[in-house]
Amino acid sequence: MGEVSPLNKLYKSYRDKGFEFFTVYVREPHPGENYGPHSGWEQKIQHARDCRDQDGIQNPLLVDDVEGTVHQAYGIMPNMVYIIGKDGKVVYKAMWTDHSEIESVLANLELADKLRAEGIRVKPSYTEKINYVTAEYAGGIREKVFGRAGKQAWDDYRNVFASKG
Amino acid sequence: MAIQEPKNKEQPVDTYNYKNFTRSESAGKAVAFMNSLRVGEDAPDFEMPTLEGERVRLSQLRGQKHVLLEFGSIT
Repeated sequence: MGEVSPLNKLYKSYRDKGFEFFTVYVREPHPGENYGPHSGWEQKIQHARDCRDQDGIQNPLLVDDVEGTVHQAYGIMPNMVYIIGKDGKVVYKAMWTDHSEIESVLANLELADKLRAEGIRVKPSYTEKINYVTAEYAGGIREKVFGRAGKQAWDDYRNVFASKG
Repeated sequence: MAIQEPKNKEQPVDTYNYKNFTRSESAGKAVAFMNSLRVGEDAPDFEMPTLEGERVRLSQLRGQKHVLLEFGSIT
């Protein structure tokens, strides 16, 4: 992949500012002929390598066990994002990845660190919001996903969402 | 006499790793996500390997690093 992905860009900006980024490789939500369901650890590791290479992921990739223990502990959505503060508490959770949202959370954590370093106290302001993202796969992602997975994955997807257009 | 809480079977590997994406795999996941782990709570600890064979334990980063986790897959 020639382009720099939004997450790689953020990783580059924040990796030296007290942040660690990890991609957690979990089950295949749209299994098909090419990438079927995981049946064992070695196969899952190999799929995880393919995932890293195909998407050009630059941050470290962590592989969940075949039973999906960590995935299930965090809420089982296929493309969710969590940001965890230095104190080990969840600062941000999102059902789907939205890089502009992520960027604002990272910037806020960086600011809080800076203020603390200057001796200025900060306090948590609890925020709750709904964020809108496109329902349809945007920017050729649908072709990418189902091209990788195979025809069965596309057929299954259409069967589930056909009535919703 | 108190009603016994049903003992859920541990999820079998082939239920988590389903073969076909179906309506039931899609339904209810969003609500379950909203009601799971909340902002402000301790993130569940984990230890997972990287593809380089290093093991990463979340609790070992405590006090040192902010951590971003993006969950993902090929498909």
